[in-house]
Amino acid sequence: METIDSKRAGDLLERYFEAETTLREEELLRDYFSNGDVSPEHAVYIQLFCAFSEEREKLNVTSPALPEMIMPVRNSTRKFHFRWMSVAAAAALAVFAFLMIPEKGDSLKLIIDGVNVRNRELALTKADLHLEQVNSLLVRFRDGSNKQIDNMNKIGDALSPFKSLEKILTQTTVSDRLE
Amino acid sequence: MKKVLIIVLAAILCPYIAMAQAKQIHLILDKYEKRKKVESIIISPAVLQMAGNGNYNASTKELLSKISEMRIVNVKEDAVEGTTPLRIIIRDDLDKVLISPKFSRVLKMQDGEELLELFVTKESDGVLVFLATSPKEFAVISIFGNIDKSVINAVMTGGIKVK
Repeated sequence: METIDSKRAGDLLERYFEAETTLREEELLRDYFSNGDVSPEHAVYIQLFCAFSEEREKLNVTSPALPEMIMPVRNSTRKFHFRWMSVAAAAALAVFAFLMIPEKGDSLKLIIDGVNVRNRELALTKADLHLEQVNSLLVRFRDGSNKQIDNMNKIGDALSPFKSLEKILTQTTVSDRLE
Repeated sequence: MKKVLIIVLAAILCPYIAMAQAKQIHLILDKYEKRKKVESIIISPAVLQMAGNGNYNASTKELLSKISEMRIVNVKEDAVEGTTPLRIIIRDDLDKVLISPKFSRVLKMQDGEELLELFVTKESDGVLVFLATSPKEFAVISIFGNIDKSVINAVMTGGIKVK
């Protein structure tokens, strides 16, 4: 390891404060101040260079603690991306739901021969007409059903004397057998 | 997190899967509504409520709250595609959907030359479809929404009116 004497250290210090030293020369200066053999005229600079040394020790790049210091940064980056991914997914779902849910607003649409007709009254009149046609058919259906039910009841009424006769006959047959 | 996303997706998609039949009817009506000699009317329940000037009782309001949309497509007898009457083409398309285990035919009524059929989805969240055939026209009246017994009864007794 190369060392420097106080004279060389003085020269390097002058160049250091002129910002003319190389990285190698700055390293020599740090070694000079850290080994304890510093001339009294340079003693005022010990704090400066030793402070740097302490800082370097704290941020020692060869330290095994480095991956631990870097990992949280990586994790936070990943978390950051993941957070944005989930926000994007939620936004996509919201857009999807908005597009898929049928409109339930105040809408009335009439199309005749492929032309959009903006006439609310006409649309309602036409819709009412179609519903009325269906309703009139349903009324006929209900009337027909009622008539059929009435007819069935009439048939039932007409058959009721036969039912009583059948009952009498059954009773007679049973009493005959008992005798 | 993936599980949460899957659950959220499933929750969003389930109603749409259940509404697949309604969607199929919508698609058929969308396909033909802009043809020549075809009339299409789409009415939201809000319009139905306004059409009645809001003079509805609680049961009618509840009934309207179950309906999400009413669509009427009316095809004139002389509407044709190529040489085939359009009413037959639409009827064929509708039969592919309606004659399936997902639908049940509630009513079929023939009166002279007029035929009225009513189909309803077996699941309540779906559609009710009237097919009214007469010599002059073929009308598809569909009501979308939560089609339960109260809606079917109201429709059968003429309880749903536009004016």
